Amino acid sequence: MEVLVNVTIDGQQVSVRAGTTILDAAKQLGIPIPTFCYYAKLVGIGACRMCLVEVEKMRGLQTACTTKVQEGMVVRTNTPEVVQTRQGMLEFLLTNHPLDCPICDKGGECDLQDQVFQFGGTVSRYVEEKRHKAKAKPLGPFVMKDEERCILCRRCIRFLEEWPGDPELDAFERGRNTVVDTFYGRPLTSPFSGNVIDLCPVGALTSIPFRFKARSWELKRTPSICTLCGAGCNLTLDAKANRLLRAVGRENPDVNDEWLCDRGRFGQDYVRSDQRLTSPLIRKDGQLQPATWDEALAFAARRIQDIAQTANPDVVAAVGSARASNEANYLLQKWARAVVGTNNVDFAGRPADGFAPLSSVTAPLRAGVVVLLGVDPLGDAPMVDLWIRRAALTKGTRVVAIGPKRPVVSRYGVWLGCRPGTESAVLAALLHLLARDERVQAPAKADLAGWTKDYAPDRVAEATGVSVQALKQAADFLAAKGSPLVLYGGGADLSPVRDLLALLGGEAGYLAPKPNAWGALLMGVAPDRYPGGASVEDAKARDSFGKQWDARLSPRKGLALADMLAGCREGIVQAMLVVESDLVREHPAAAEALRTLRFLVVVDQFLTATAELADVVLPSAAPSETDGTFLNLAKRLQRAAQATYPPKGVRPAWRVIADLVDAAQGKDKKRGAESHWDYETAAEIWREITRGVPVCRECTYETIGTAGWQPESAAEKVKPVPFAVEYPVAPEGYPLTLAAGQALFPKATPARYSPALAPVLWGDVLLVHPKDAEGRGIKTGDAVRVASARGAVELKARLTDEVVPGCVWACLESVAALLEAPDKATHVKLSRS
Amino acid sequence: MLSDKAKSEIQQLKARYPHPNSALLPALALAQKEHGWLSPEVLEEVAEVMGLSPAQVGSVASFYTMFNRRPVGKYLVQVCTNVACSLLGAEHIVEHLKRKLGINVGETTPDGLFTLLEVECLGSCGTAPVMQVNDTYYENLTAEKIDQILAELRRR
Repeated sequence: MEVLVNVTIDGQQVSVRAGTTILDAAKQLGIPIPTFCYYAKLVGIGACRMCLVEVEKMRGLQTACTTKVQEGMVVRTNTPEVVQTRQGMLEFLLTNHPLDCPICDKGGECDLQDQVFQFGGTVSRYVEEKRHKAKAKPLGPFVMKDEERCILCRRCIRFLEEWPGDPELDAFERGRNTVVDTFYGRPLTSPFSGNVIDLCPVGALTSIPFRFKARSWELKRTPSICTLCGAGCNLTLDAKANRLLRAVGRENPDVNDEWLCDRGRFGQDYVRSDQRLTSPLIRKDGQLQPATWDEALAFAARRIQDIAQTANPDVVAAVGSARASNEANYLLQKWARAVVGTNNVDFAGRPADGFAPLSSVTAPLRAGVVVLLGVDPLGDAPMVDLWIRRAALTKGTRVVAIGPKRPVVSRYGVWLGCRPGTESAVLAALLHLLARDERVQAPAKADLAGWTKDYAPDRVAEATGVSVQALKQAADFLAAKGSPLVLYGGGADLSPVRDLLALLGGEAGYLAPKPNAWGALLMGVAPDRYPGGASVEDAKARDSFGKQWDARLSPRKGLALADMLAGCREGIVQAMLVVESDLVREHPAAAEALRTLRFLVVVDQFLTATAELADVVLPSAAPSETDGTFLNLAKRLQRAAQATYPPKGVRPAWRVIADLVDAAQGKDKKRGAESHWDYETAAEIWREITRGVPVCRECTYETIGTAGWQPESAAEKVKPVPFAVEYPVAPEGYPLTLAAGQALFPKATPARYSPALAPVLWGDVLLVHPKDAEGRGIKTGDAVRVASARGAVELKARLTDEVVPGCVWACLESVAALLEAPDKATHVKLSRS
Repeated sequence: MLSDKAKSEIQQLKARYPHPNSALLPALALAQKEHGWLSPEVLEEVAEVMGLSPAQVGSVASFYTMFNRRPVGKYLVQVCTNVACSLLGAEHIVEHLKRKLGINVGETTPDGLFTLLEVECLGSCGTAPVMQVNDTYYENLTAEKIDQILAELRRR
């Protein structure tokens, strides 16, 4: 039962839970107590003495942020002694704090400025020489340190310790010489290092990319979301004179609390890249050349129309994107279905049937064990990685990582290193152990004991390379802690995952690496689904959308992406519209297939590897340059709001699609009463979407607001299912297996175009285990040739035991062309070039 | 490199306290005893054995003045300059040592024999002025006594 205690603060009485601090009790009464080092999301340490208050019967003043209330306690926060002490504390801080506010980036949003203004004295009595320490000392590529401005509140130290568990900062030396630093000035490497900039109450830690770019009060601040991974972290985009200058974390306890990863914080500046496309391009004499919008749209519309008419509508295909907003994706499939007349609509990274979203980005907090099935959240969704770390640090959550590459968070548990493509077998071995563990009580146990009899640890160890001891430890974590959270990636086999849930409860979810995979699916960017999920073979749904879109819709299922690409070569697909998807860097078959098309239109912000193959390229706005909604990896609906106008000559993707229809139908028809393509804003498209998609019916831009909207989802009951695991067999001459994934700073679009991320971008690097390098005479830094049956690429080797022997690992965008299929481990050979 | 013996002693120290982190000070003392000073490499090794980050270990090592974060001579000469010793002429003792060794406070002689430091109270005010050379106290110091001590140390 909750114990309440009664306290009196400034004459007002309040009952609060035992264990509450004076500061929090005062907050409940609306009594403000000034603080410095205190930060609600960090452990209080009472270092700055700003929150000192008078407590009856206690000697001296007490720190309100660390002193717990007691029954009958009488507190005064505003006595002359308290006020004078605060002034004294501020005066002390200012004796050593340089008054370089005019050249300090923190000026205008500085806690010290604000506190001195509110509580400080007016005149400084300090006439002596100030203490001098290092100024402008970079701590890595993102954080600049000014030691003189530091007031030693230790917020940055505590954050790195308590959230990402990367205690890279600490206080060195003592007394007046104390400085916050890294070990011998090494660069910060925490993937979440940028948060210390937001946390710093003064200008001691500032952002290198934002340095001297603007004064805080000049910024136009737009609440929005990050679209650089599937987590959809809430942030504020700050712009000056239509230039997006920085992103800072924005509070949302259900998504990112208030933190950002360094990719999201610093990567948004890709919109300012000098490689942005600012004019449509048309291929003339084999070269892409600038053209006007009217020219390009008319040409694209006419060519697609011609091709569809001479053959049939089904030779046209539309590729949407998990990077594009719901509005753009919705219009793209509407264009394909209602204007062209085909269901050939799909996108790369579409969640497979049976895939489920996470219950929340914060789901790790509710898990006993986080099981990573061949995924590394640090690359796929860094904020999920942060929540795993937080869960491990505060709740003792364990991590069981299954896969060929060791994720950082496996330090909170065990890494079951196995050869690529054998993850399901390793999971089967865990099921084998759990089905025979007396701590596990579940009706499914008997069935599973039978189904898993072929997956005894020693047998699986032999077939996969995993260690028996690690398997036993992982099974022990699972049996002891229960409620696993299984995170899986694109190619996952869900049957053994379901079995694990049937044994232990918990949840499983697809760690969608792109910002809008679930949204694109919900918008009907799928060959067999309308917006909302109804089948294209469902006559009722077809009628209803046909009426809404004023068109006769095709009853035939369309081609899925892989079939579209395969069909390119055979002339089954002859024209394609690709919106904001760099297929060539993601899909093995794309480069070859797209070259054989008669006509390719690409809409994107950059001249991507895909756009380079196009006949017409139409430049589109980034998510921060238009309005749009996204559905994150927990199917939370959130708005990316317009922070700046797009560069001159650039249009939002949704408008480009509508304009393409215009160009085909002629302006007059569009203005006509029956036109369904007359959109002035993204909000209008959203209103149309809500009419056709039941789950969104109640939703408007206003109700989504800045916090987003999470539809209720009923937990589904999991039935155990039998499964069979196939072990990949290496063909003659291809002794190694290539696994592809995503790095924290991937060279994928759009992060590859960010100037701030440029120094840390993952290069064309291949991770090789020293054992595999030895016989081939490969050293770190050597150029190596990795070849599969599909082709070969040259990469730089890096020797590491982060990968298992027999496996080489690279970023997807470097090796997409080699893979047998997306998300599929591929047999390769490796040699020095 | 920290010896295996030191590493296993640190492991034992960790078990001695309610919280293993409490073993950090004795662990650092152990490492310093073995190496004479705490180099970045040694600090990192201690961090690894302790399960702490290099920053956390470096922070503690830099707080305490008795941990040497630079190489010191074979003989670490620490002269007390606190109140009692100062009243009895500690500053002359320091001056004499500086002259005799040819170095300033904080420096090491080129032959690597002596490092000279000023320290706070050594807790032997009754026999001031006092200096400590490695683990030995030299009391009631005079210039002559220092000459003898240095000569004796040089002979060893």
